[in-house]
Amino acid sequence: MWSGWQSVLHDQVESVAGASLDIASDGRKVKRPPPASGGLLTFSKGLWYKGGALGLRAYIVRRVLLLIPVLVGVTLFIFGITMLFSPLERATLYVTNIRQLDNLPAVIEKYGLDRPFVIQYGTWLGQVLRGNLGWSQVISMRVGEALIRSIPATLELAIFAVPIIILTGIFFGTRAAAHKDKPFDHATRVVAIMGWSLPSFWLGLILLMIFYGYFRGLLPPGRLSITAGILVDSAGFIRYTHLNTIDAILNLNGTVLLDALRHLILPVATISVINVAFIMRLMRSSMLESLGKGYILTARAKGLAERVVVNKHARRNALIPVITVSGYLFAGLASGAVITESIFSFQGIGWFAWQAAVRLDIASVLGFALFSAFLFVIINLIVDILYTRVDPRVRLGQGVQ
Amino acid sequence: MSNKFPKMGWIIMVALLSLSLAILPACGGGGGGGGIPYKNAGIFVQQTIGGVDSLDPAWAYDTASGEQLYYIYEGLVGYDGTSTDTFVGLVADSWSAAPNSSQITFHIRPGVKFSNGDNLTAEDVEYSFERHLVTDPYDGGGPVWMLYYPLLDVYDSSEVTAEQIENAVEVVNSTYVRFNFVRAFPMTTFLQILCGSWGSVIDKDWAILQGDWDDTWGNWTNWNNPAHEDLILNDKAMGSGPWALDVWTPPGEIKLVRNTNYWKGNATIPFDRIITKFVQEWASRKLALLAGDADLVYCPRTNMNELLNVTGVNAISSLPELTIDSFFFNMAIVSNSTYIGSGALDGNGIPPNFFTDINVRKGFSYAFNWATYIADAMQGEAAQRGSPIVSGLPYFNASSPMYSFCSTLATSYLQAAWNGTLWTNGCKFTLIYNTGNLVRKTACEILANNLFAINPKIQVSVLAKAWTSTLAMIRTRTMPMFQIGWLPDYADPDNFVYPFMHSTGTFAKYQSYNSTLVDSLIEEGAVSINATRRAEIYGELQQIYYTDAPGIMLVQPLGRRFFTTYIHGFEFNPTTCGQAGSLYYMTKSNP
Amino acid sequence: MVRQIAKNPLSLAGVTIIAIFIIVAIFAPLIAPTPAGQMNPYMIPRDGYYAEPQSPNAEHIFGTTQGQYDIFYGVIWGCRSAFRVALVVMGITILVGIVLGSLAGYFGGVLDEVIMRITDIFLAFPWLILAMAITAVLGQSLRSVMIALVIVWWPAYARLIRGDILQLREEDYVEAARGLGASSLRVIVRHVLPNSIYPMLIMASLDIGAVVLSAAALSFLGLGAPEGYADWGQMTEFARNWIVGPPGEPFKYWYAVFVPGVFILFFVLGWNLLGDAFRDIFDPRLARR
Repeated sequence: MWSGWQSVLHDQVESVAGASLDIASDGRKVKRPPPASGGLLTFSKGLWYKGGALGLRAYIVRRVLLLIPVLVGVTLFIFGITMLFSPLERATLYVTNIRQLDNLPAVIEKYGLDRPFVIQYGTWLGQVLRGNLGWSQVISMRVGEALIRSIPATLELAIFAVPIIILTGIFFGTRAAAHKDKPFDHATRVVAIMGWSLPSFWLGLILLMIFYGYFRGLLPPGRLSITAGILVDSAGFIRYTHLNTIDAILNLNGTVLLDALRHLILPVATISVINVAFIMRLMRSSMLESLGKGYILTARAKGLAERVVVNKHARRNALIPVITVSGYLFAGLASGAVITESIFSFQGIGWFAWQAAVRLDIASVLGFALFSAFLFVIINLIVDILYTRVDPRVRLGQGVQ
Repeated sequence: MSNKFPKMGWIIMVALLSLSLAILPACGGGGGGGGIPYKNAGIFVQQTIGGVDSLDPAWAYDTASGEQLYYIYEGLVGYDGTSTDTFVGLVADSWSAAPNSSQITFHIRPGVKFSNGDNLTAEDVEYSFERHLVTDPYDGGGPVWMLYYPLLDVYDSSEVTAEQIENAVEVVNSTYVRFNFVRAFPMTTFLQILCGSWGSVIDKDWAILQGDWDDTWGNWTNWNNPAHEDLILNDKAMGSGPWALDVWTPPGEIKLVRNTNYWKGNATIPFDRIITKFVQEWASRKLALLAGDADLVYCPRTNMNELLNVTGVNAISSLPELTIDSFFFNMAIVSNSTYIGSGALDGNGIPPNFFTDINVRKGFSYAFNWATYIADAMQGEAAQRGSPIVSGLPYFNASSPMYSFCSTLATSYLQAAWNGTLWTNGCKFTLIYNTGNLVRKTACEILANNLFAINPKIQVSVLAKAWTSTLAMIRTRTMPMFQIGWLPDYADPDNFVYPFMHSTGTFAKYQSYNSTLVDSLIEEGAVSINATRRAEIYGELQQIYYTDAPGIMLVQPLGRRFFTTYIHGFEFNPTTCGQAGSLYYMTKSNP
Repeated sequence: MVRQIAKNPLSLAGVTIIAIFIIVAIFAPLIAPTPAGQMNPYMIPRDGYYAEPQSPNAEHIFGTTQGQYDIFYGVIWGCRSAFRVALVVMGITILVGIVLGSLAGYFGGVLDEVIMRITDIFLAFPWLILAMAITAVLGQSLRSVMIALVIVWWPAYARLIRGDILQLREEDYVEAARGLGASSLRVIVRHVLPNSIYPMLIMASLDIGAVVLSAAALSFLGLGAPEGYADWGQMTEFARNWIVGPPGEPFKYWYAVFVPGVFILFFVLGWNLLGDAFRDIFDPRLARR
């Protein structure tokens, strides 16, 4: 959850600083190792981005190849944990009625639940490579289908939440940095930290209590109301993406659009309040760093207006870590804001993962793990590439050595 | 990025704000004030927990699926109103049983159509039953055993031949369908079985078109015992019931739409649509009811007080549900169980055969306080029962003896147990309930606390375990005592006593409760066609449960329903799956 | 450093909040005494079995939650649970992170590669699934929660230490020490680690809040502390069904929802304020202005 970002973020901030500051405080030149230390953001010597189009392609290929050990590792680990359950316990997943207790041995036999670990994992892997992720007991359809069906709901949340979080965070972070240590700065800091300290489930439930309970029915949970739901399922409405808002726009249907938006307000608000703090603080510190750079002094010395200095020069560079973090934010949300989804009945990926895990639906759990790990690695890759594109200093940093 | 940026930030925020302000009034959400708004005329919306497992009648064995199948499909007969043992014809309009009770013939009603317009003939009926028998997914343990048992005296299709299935159901004189039993079987019970979703009549031509069994016997085993993912009719349905399947969006929602070809007449169908939403969060369901977004919601027992005396909510109470919850004594605990402490009667555990001593069982039975349990855990809405046969079943004897809390009697029995060693040494073991079930947790705590108060050396701890684990542990006989409830397939005492008391019954087996007398009584009662004899048998079984005390029978809950006041005509039949009941006979109107 | 903390009102607030929690946690047995005869003080005593929460009254200062568990007792002893989870998870995470990160950063080569790939795998883990799997296997308890959180959190610290070591490895004084014949362990412990401690402090103090929130979330989802355990997340789970009261009194059960949530909020707030202050104080680049 947070830890992945934070470390990556830390690396980013370090590397931005490191890449640009090759002169230490006491004036001596400092050797800097490859920027962005650690793991996914770099390989140890020799595999870093070597520059040029050919290098980029090779880099991408290498990073994509990295997917394989990660996916295998993640699924193997989870599989291993689930194997700590006896075959009987895993077989009870298939029981919907107590009378079926007698059939458990047959179920074990049928699904091979008592075969050795390696064979079970191998069988599963073989099936996956053939495109069959198994059957999801939770949703009563194939796991692959279940994932695809669940993605739109989560995607819709992410698409609205991420821009709001980023934009609000950037805006307030910049202002806070520009007014450092003044009341505005302190106020935003307190608000940010409070938002960050809120348990998401608590906030969600309270919002629901106020806006659905107290204001009877104002902002309901779920994705669509009954009437909109009927409209959406009717023959005249074509489902392009299964995202209600986008489909509504494509179908030029105002009722559905407004209805979908209305149902999005609370879950998006819950997610945003909690995550905006992080971006705000990040923007603030990276702006502060940026504002302390040499070229800023130069710009000021040249007599440029303060506002231009802040907005045009400092902000552009300060945005870099924010861009990378948005990537992880998106990945994090896309693999499911479980609690928000469960409270607001947005049956997306997070909800699916939760139900699958609670009910020991191993096929679904593994399917979700694959999806989530895959997404994480790919987004890391995209962010890194974006990063190298956006920040030319990265290459420079390397050059110092 | 120029100095327009902060302005852009403001612009975006203002845009968002105005957008939300535009949306809010447009939704017309009701403000405070009493009463529930009337919404969605002609549409019945309910919110409940769980989810539909499958729409295949040969597979579906859970209440959520059963409920939907009940609206979409019809069987040959159905229960007559609130009765559980008299019937009305649905697909059939008359029937007659042979005097020797080994054959029953149904006349198929003319003019019945499926929702796609196909005519329903005797061929469809024959096909449906043969198809269910063919499909029989016995590895997963489906409901088709209830067709096999009366017809062929077996429990599944594992050793059945095509000929046997073919002979079990046949079309006679083109408009009659006959069932042939291999031995005499009580007809009322068979009719009750036909009322379930496993007796659904499906459209033969349509089914074959979908790829289902093609009505030939050459390779019928290709369709036999499929896995869930291979069920062809898992998410499709074509029935003759008042509603047809519109859209099923697992896991959240299933929508049915009116069947314009319904044989009783399209105009008689009170709802255009039935929408069932599966919402696991009680707070959301409750708010939905109060906002008028749902006409019926499932309310957990612990929260019932919140919906009492609320304007606009019709809280129906005291519905005698056909279900019972009970403690079971495990008389042959597996010796390496971690819940029996030291495994010996030395004060730090219990031996695996601890509960074989009748004095222990009686002592524990007298140590349980039903009054507290009913008042606190069940909100007063339950009735104690002394045996698996509950009120609403034929041959239920209200004056059958029952235990009640009495610490003197408990003391004397516990002192007599195991020649007094239990009383002097004490014991330790663990009671387990499934996580999240506060009612069962309370039952465990009541028993534990009362035992401790009677003799502080009897120390029972209470532990929560996941549902899957508790199920597995029932099988592995790991728990000293377990608690579980029973939902019947049909309203006959046999369906209750068999699992509780027959040595091969679902519960008794894992308790290792074994009594030849009980076994023979049950076997006789299951196929007896003599009502007097049956009354005798089941009366005796109720008495035996008291004297043998294989478990602590808890309570038969009194159910509730929470509708809005706009829904009229609800009548309770305990055999109906789901909460809504016979929607065909209900209406929605304001007032 | 202490002076810097004292000067900043927000960080002072943070320290005060944490201090209050520490005091409450230490004196929990005095503030909310365990009823006689109860073996496990972490199980909240029940006043009967009735389901509906009761409002605050003389006997139950904060009222009772579902099942008549005393809220006051629960939140007071919950302080202990919170500290236990926070400190144990952070402690083990930092330890594992230091060990693996040092190995990777200092020795480089294959060891580095292997450890980094392992951290990749763990970073890509869906933490919720992992937590659930562990809880399912080991049973519902705070121990399962702690194990799950450690498994999810350590990669970040490993990488942090590794990164710092990679940088510091090239420093002159480190090379000098090595030149003088100091063993690798000595170099790491005496020279490298002390300089990398500050970023770790910042991250740790910010993370404690996140750890507690995650633990609470897990308990809320039913995967953490067992029912009736004195844990804030668990108590919020009890309140889940009582968020909205009967019509006309929508906030009737406010205490069941509000009280545990507020404790979580302030605990996390305290640590976040402190961590934020640390960041301002220790981050040399910012301080240089």
